[in-house]
Amino acid sequence: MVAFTIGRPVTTDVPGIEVDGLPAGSHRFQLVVVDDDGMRSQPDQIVVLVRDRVLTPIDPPIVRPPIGGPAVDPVQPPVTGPVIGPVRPPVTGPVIAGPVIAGPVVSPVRPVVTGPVVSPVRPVVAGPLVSPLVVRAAGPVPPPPKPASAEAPTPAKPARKSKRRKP
Amino acid sequence: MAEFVIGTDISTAEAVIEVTVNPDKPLPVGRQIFRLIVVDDSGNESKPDQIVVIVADQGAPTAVLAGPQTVASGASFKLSGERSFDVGGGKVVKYLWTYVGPAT
Repeated sequence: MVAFTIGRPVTTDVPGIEVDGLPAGSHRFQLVVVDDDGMRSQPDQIVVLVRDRVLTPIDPPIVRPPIGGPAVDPVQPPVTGPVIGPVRPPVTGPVIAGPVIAGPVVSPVRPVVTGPVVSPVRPVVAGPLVSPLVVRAAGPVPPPPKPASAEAPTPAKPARKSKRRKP
Repeated sequence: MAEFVIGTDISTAEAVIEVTVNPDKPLPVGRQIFRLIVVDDSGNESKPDQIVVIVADQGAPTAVLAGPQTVASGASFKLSGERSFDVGGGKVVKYLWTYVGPAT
């Protein structure tokens, strides 16, 4: 903070300064800048109004439309009425674009049925017990039968004439 | 186009006006204030609005002072010269602040 004396400049090498202790009323300040060649600017001045109590402005701030820009609707005064809870806009989260994460296909979990353990029922084969071993009689092993379709037709043998004995 | 004279109103039916600068009488360097009042079709006048145009110095640096318009009594506040510049390519290295006194 700097203690100002009227008409006596305070020099700084930074572009900001803090002021305090002014009585209520309008106060004028001035700035002159100097460049690295030692050239001085023309003074610029502003007026700061110090109030005993800062009153809340009644009029809403006016938005100044840019020249040549689109027209700005006039600021409408606030509508007085019953206090209504503020309307909260729907919360829209940011749309996250990204690859679809393809995970392993997981089968739905089937509930485990608790109960007595039941052994799987095997069908009872009715009939004589067949041993998987085939017991063959001793002797020459007959050739395997040929499939019927593969055999050549056997010529019909002439019927033997039966010899009958004469009585 | 319109050549402004300080304190003299210029009335137009258009919403835009171009400020003509006479090369023999250019706008003074520094802060220049322009004010606008509009009138509706019933003759009602608006309150004045105004803007500040900083006319840059072509040789020396240009000071631009900023601060609050209103402060509470007893409260400290800041003044800023950050917007000061030098169109000649120089660099602002020093700031001279002066409390001119109560404004009339």
